[in-house]
Amino acid sequence: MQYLEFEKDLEQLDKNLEELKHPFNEEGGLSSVNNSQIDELENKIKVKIDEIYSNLDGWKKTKIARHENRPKAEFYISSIFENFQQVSGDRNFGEDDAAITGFAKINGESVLVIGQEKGNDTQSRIKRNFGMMRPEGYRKCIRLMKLAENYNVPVVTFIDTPGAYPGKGAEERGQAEAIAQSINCCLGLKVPIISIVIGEGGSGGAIALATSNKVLMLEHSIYSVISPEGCASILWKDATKSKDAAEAMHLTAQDLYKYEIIDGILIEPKGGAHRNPDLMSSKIKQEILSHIQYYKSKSSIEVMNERTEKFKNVGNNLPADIVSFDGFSNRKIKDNFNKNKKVIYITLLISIATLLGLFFFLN
Amino acid sequence: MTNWLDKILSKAKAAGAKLSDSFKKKTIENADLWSSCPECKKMFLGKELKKNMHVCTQCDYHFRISADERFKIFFDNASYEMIDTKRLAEDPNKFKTELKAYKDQLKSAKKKTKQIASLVSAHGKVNGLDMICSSFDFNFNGGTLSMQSGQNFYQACEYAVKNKVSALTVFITTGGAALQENLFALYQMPKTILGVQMLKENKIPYFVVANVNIGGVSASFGSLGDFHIMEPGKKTIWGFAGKRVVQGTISEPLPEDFQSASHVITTGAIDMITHRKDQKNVISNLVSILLKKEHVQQSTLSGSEEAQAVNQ
Ligand SMILES: [Zn+2]
Repeated sequence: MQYLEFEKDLEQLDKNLEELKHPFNEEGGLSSVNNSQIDELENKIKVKIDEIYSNLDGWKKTKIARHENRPKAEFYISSIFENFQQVSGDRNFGEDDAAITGFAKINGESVLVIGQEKGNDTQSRIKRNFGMMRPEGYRKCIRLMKLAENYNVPVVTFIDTPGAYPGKGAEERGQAEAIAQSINCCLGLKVPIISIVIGEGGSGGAIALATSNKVLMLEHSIYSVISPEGCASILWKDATKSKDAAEAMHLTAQDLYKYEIIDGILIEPKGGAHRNPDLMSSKIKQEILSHIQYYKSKSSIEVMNERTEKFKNVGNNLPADIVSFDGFSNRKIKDNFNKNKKVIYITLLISIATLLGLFFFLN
Repeated sequence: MTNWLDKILSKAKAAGAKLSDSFKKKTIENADLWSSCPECKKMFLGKELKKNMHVCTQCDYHFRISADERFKIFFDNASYEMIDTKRLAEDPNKFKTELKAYKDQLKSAKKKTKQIASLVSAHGKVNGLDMICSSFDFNFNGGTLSMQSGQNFYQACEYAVKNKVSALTVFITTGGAALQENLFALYQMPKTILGVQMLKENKIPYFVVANVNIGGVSASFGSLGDFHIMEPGKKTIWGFAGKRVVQGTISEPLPEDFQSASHVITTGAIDMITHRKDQKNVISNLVSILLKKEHVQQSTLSGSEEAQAVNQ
């Protein structure tokens, strides 16, 4: 298990517990079981986890979202769906292993599953290109989404990528166009799309497959227009400022939910999804099922409209700032202020007059 | 009661403003007087450059011009009407660091460009055809796509449909998505694409003319044009990731013209490389062919010159 720098205390406690639970003692004989000690330590661990995980800033969340033991798309696909049949290729150039794609069932309901996969050891990470998709990956997804649409099959996407691959070939084969077309396809799709950001939602590479009816995020996942490192190196010209960038960007599930940009947060097991992957996947499964159930009664027009309205209206509910650059708007504000002043003066005068009148009347 | 005091104060303020204004004007004029070509370093008089549509007379470098200049060059007689849009919250992400506040950055960008966002739109005639033109302004926060810019583009598309115009052209000189706005900016990718979808449904030809087209812009409405036109030059860019990022990813050296017009015309990303003076004729020609409409191709004078000719 990988421990993050702010989990050092936890690492020690976990280690102690492991030793206590070890069936053999140092001499090779069976160790004596001290149940009360184990209970005490398990409690301590719980408290410690609560302490660490109840107080996570954007940078710590970024670390957890990228945790090497964090369950990945491949795990969720195998644990959530039945009869998963992987399919591949964009029919034009190649296959992209950074996206696992296939048709499956979930409690008997048909779905198309798309999962951005980072890999979980050196070999698989290289195979998966660290979850960075190439144009052919997006084109494969477009092909399959259209196929799913044709058979009225909903789409589920797992988002986990540092971003689209910035390679020479990827650029030359039209990475930008592939992402644009993928978003274009998502927006026009007659079937519902449900996206779950399970780790890192990296910019255009993520939204290409997350232009969905429901955008959900795991509690400790992140979603941003650029990585904190990238932001730091552009704005501060100093990559060591990533922590500040992560804070300022508001990239956590909690921030984005507050902003009404995402549609829901899936609470993770204590200490993060990696401490109980099975519990996490059963939660995700329930969530997907409830959404699929919900969309069953919706027409394709309703499904499309819901998605369009969401992306059309993002941020429109926030109060527009009245203070503006041009004299015109400034004047407007001043006018309002002066009007208000007048109203106040008039009200004051009337009330004074009334009081005076009352005073004289009573006298 | 306090009127006389107010009067005196406001008069004093006005006088002060006049003074600082005249001071500012002078410095701006001086900066405007001379510019040098970033490519061949030739020095230009501002006037001279304007006359040549902000293209270097020596090496054909296409300067990254303001939205205002774009409109003046593009529309007949340099006459057009700006399209008003709904104002959204600025700094929706409440981006705060120890650096200069994003809000203040926006304020000075607005002051500098007299625009509400990095992308603004106008309506006018192009070779006699009714057209909408949206344009990024590199001087506005590096032409980054913000929530307001996305809204402006979306509304330009709505306006185009409502007024049944003959085409919509977007001039792109952008640094990608405005990272200070995080997902509010990222979500402009689908939003602008919704605008493009509207154009396509209503059979309004959509042209992308790019000088620098990258990141969240090239990966959304910047890559979905019916036609992709690029200005010539080594410093033009069409791609998703920046050249430096790409170079950092791979070990072999990149070709010198990587992502520039001469490169991406070979990779199939664009239809043509077109000199600034020919852009409007190319566009009106295609529109007249697609929509079977009459257009009047003009000599390759700049709009402002035509205006002068008309005025004389
Ligand atoms: Zn030059």
